[in-house]
Amino acid sequence: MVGNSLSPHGGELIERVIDPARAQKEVQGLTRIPIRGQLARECINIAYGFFSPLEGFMSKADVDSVVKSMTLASGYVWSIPIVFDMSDAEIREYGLKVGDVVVLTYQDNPLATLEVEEIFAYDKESMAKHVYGTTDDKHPGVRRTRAYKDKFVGGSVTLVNPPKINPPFDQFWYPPRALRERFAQRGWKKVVAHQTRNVPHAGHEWLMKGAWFSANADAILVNPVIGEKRQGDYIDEAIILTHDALRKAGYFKEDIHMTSLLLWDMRYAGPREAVFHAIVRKNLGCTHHMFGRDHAGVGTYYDTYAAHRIFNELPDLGIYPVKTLEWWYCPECAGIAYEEQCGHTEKAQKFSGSLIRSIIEDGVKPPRLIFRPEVFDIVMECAEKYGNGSPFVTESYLQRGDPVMTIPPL
Amino acid sequence: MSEELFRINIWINEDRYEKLRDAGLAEMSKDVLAGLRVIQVPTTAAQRDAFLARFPNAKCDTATTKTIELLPRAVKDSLLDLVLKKRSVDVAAEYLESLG
Repeated sequence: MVGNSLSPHGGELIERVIDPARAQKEVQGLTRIPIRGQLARECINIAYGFFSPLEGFMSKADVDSVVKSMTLASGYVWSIPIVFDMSDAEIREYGLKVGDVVVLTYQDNPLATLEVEEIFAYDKESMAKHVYGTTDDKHPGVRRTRAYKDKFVGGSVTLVNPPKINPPFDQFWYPPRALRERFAQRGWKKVVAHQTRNVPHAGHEWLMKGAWFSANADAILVNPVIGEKRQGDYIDEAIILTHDALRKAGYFKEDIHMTSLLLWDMRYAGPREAVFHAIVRKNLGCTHHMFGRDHAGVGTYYDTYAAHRIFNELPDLGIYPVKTLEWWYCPECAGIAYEEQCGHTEKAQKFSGSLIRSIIEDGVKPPRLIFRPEVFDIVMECAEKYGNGSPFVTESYLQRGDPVMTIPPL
Repeated sequence: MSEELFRINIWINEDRYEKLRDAGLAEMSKDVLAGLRVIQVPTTAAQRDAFLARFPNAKCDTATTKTIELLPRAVKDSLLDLVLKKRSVDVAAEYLESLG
């Protein structure tokens, strides 16, 4: 039996970042393999310990165990395969074999080394079925799984060139050790994490406030996921700056609220992704994680509260799931009300992130009780400054490249 | 058992309210969110699917509100024009037909 409750996960914060003075020499003469954004973000997460206890991309034994039993081969709970895929042609082209060390490049510059420990095939249909509970191609996680190339390469990853996180995201970049130190400086022992990929409306605000009460927490960590975007999503700048604006505008006190970012491409794996979020936030130093309705879900693939129930089937993960039901607007209460408390169920006016986006898309300013005016103003500012006039992801926003981070020349 | 309906929310800003008022249809809109008014165009499941296929950035919020969200503003404007013309919210079929 392993100690799943240890924090960081596995009991040790994994850090695989090479001394910059040695980096140039370390990559000299190595085969360079360019990688896409998802893999670059995962290299960074492995190297800084966001994914502790992972030290690299998964071996076949780990993948198989994660897929079938939601644990690593070592026994630690882990719910999402973290894999490095390559086509047979690429493997031939680079002459890749077990025992090689290669340098992975992103934006044409060295990012990390990969020690090739295993090259293997895996049944992608089985992976999709187990992880997502479906093989429906409309599920974005299933599509991502099917798009993986022929083979997976397992092996340790070491960062040789730290990313430069670009404004306005740089102020929110805290790898786990730095964030843990920040919590300690502020005297925060109990921190409840908020997962988001949305601009906050009043339902989110009250979800956070309710979780803070429920956990008797010192603070809330808002940890937006920044990764691949789809057209129609809010732009990343709007998401992170509006969350920070809630504190700056006084809806949260300075000493109980903080925003930091997570580089991650959402899998929309519902309950399995909830477990993944809990483990990553534990690695950041959080003690609690809030889970509302339909956490990390998409479409109708998961029951509304599947992400609540999955924790009942798992050992103590060392991060307590704060499970909350729905917040709505109640015209009788004349404010935001909680499903378990408000007795005016039939008069409840429900709303969601999509509904608020729809209001804004229609050129209408949402009511201040539902959407804080300071948040609306930041959304509109971000539209002008970063989104070519739109707060939502458009083709032109996507074509601008990856504005979040730059890998500088070594 | 009656067929489940999904709604398209046409949120009412000042311009849209003026159009409704001028047509004597202001009362057709209703308060659904903290005083924010909306015209709701019902769709069948088949019509919902047709809208989602035609406008891939739109989505049906099946979890919370049972509404089709994130249709382009121009689509909402066209639907509202049809509502004003027919003096009815049952315009989804006619709109889809107009798309060919």
